[in-house]
Amino acid sequence: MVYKKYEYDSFRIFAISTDQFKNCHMEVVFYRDAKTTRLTEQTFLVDMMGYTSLQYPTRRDMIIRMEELYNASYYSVTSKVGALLISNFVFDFLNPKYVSESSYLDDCLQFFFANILKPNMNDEGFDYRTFQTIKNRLQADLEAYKENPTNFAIRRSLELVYPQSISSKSILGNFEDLEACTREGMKRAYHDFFEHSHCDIYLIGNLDMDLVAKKILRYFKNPVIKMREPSLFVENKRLRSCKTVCESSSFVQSTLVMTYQMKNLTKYEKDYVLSLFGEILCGSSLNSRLYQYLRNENSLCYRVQTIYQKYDELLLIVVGLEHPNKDLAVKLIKKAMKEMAQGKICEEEIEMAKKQLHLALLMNMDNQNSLVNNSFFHEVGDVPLLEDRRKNIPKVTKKDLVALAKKFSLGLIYELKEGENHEED
Amino acid sequence: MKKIEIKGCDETFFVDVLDCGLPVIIWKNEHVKGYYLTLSVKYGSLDTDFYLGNKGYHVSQGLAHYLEHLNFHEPDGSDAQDFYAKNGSDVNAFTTFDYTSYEVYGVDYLPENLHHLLDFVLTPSFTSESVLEEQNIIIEENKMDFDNPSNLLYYGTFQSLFKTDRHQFFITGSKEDILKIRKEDLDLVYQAYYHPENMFLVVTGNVNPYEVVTIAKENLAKKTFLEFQHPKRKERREPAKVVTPYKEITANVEVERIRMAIKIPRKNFREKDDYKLRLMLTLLLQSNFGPTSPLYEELLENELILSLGCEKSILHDYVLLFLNAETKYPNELILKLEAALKHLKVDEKTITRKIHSAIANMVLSYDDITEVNMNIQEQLMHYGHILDCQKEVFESICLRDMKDVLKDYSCKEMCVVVLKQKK
Repeated sequence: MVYKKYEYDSFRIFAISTDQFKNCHMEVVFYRDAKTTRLTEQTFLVDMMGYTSLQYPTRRDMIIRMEELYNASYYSVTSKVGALLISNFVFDFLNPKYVSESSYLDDCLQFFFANILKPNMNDEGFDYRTFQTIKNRLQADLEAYKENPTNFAIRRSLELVYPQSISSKSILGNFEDLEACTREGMKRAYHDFFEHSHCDIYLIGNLDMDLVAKKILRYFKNPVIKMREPSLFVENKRLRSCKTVCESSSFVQSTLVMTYQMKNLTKYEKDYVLSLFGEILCGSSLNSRLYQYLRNENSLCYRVQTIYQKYDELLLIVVGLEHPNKDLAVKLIKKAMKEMAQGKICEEEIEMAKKQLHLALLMNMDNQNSLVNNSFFHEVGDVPLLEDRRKNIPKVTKKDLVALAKKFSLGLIYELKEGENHEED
Repeated sequence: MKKIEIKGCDETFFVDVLDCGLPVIIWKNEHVKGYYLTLSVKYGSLDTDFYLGNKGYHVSQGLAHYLEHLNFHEPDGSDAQDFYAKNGSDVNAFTTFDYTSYEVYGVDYLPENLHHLLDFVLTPSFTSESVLEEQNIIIEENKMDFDNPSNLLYYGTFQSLFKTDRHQFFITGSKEDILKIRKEDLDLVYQAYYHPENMFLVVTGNVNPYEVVTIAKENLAKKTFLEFQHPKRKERREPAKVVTPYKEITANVEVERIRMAIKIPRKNFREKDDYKLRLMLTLLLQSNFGPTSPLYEELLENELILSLGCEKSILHDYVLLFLNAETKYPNELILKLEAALKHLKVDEKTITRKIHSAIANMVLSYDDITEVNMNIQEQLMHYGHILDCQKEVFESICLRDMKDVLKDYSCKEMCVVVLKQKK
């Protein structure tokens, strides 16, 4: 695997050359500060740009073209990581060596970049049909988060912990902001998006990267040069005490979310110690602490999930269980966290977790999306490359883990309580 | 060991059948770091009523899934997870309607991991206590299924389609089913079905096929197996009529959903090759209801759908076609879809384009060791052997074949399920 970087005035190309895949994967990534007022608009805009374009003005036209390009796949997605709003335009296509048409690579690049540079808009604004379709879709998505007890409970926990912070905001924004979006306004948003976002291109596949970089210069233009790199970290205030909140629902199962704040982590802790800590506490294996305490020893639940939002300095522990078991689950989770801070971690447990991470990292190296994702956060957030993590995680010591465990403080115990009567249809 | 060339994909599968009757299928990919092992047993959630010889047996719904959980218990009181965690590998399992599969992901320790997979799956060690311990865990898993509206719609449609067929029941069973399961039932099923002749091992990834077979042979040579009893699933005659043509169910949904299904006797189709028929039905549905169809475009334009999907199945004696949609206007949408289902169309240009894109997809599937492994499992379960000429079958499909399928198709037996918001 060979990493290569091409730097131009207003964007960079990061190429990973490997013969591992028959697929070629390319992403144009735009990123900027995440502001609450910007979330709905940017999600809306980017969704439209991934849906149709000036050249392919209906979804049908777009997909027919992708089928003609040997089932190439083009889509766009917006996400929020810490303080950063990230929009990815993603394109997957077959390695040209499997295709008889000599123009295939150019056809693919032309299609991909024209979708981004020539969106489906005219003087009045974005295309009516595209606008309306995406608006309806986003409205449904905003409503649908209440359908999933886990998503709902996580969202409510974040809102209760940091009601004002960007950390608690959904990437979809809210109904009011969605209603305020207009076709004309989205046209302005498009220009603003290009003007104020940083832009990089990531590419992975078995390709002549120098040649592809030259071709990209022909098909892609980004005229605006940005100087200041935005930061990933959100400065959230310290939580002074732990709140307990219980809300009712009509779901069959209760959901418990315990939200911990993690303050003042060093770069070393964020890069290496945190993932090992996570693996020991609640990793992929049923041998991890929380699985042992909650599932294996007490049969309280099927699944325990931990979500690390390291750029928001938050750890969420999520459990689906029966309401009467909630207090015992809280006690056991607190016990597990306390034991970690007291150094009650055995070397065997640490070694096992290191091996699990070793597997996860190697499996990520077999995945194009993971490789590109890692490459992006390496560039933007100074996150180590997968290979560096693989080399350095084995060096993490018990002392490092204990020091990290002491930096967690419980901020909220939230329960989305199951309904009283269930009717099974 | 036999080599099977996958025509048109430049890929080779290695196939062997061990002395104990276990088929082993291996696909080597030197470009990846890891490997994926699956040991599957042809026992799934549908097998609740079966015969051993002339004697009939009935066990609770959800038993296959319960057994999958319990098989992780090891004779020394540990769990299979303990072994794999120490080796830096991942172990898991899943249960389907037709089979149960135990899976291991790893990068190192192939011999140890494969030996242990064969050991823990083929050495039952559950006790009455472990059966009880696992009960609440499975009940909590089951509740997650019930809190998922898509599941309610999925099984709700099968309940409308089928009178006797057991696809209508949750794979995990209901809470009441789970509470009924006893160790004796688990023992009975284990003894009847968990036999190498009724199982298959699929290995994909960066492995040496000869090493895999040698390890499996070594391991199984040390085990003794009773004669396979060839259990037979009790056949249920499923009437051609759908049970409930229209039904509304309620759930925690904000956006209403519909699922329409058509039930057609398999024998109505002249095409005898199930694989080719599946491909043609996919092409037919995609051409008429996929995002490149004029209808999809029209429904979006009129805001009658938020999403629309289609799928097909051949389940025993019936071909089933499904349409799923999210909509604010279920009644209007149902009328439109019913009308379209009565007038399906095909054209050469669309079919040719979709065939080319499907072939590209097939080539790309070899980038993923999990996908290849799952495809092999599916082929063994559906067709009983590896399909080595999928590309040729795709390329053989012509407009005349498609028109024949259209002639054989009928939407007389149709059902609709609407998922509505709980008040």
